[in-house]
Amino acid sequence: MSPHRLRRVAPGRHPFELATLLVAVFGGLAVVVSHHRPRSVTETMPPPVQVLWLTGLISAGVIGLIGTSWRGRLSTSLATELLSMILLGSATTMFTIALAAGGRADAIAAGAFIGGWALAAWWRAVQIVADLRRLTQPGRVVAVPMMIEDGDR
Amino acid sequence: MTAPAAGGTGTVTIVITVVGVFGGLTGVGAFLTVLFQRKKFRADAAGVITSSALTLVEPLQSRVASLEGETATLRGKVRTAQRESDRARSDADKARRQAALANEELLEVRGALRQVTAMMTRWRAAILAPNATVPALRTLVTSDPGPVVDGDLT
Repeated sequence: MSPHRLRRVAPGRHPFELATLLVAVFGGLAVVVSHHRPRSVTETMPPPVQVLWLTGLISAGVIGLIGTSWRGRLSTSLATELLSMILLGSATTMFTIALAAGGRADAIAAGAFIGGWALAAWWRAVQIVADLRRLTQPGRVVAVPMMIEDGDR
Repeated sequence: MTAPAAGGTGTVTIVITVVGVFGGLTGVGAFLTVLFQRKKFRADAAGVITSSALTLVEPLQSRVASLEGETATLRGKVRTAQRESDRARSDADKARRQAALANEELLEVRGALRQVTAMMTRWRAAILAPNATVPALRTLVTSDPGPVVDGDLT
């Protein structure tokens, strides 16, 4: 029976996502405070783009942490998280391209991790878009929070 | 470490800039799109149940669905039974009315019979009387009102 169909929606409470967002905030702030920008970034980005990159990284973290802990409308929470994931995906993709363009072998490990981070952010963004589409369809909506906390919605 | 070739850096810079600008605009655009179409997304936090509740709700939901099906079947049966009982009641009413009519007619017939019997007794007594004469009997029969009957009994 379609009116009773349950639609599962997953707000982002996954440990990986929350840890990543925290790292984006504090890592980004550390770069700003220490005035030591990564060499791959300074080599490939003009200063305005570097500012854009840092702003995107830090705001992705802040916005994402707000979005994942938002207790109002579920669609607002997901939209905020989506914005954060797109910003994070962009910032990490920029960094990955910068690392790859450097062509340094000692950047492979870091580049691979950052690239994985970028992939995860885009992946999550696609998930959120699918969840938002689910919210427009008829049926009961079930929020299934991910692993960090459960049963608090 | 030497800086990469100027051309490579140029391309990479353009790509990185495009990714950054495109990402920022896409993110903000998606966010605003969702916020301005909030009406489309029905579920607020109060309308959302948690996964722990889901484990309780899912079996209940299937139970509700099966009970709903059962209720529909029973409702159909009740409707049929009601129709049948209505028909039976109207049949019984008709039969009762017919019985009452028959009873009334029977009472009338009984009354008529009593009057006829009384008349015959009177006439017999008159005929068998020792001083009975034909003219007297004729007078009696003519003046006798005979049976008084409401309906036509012929």
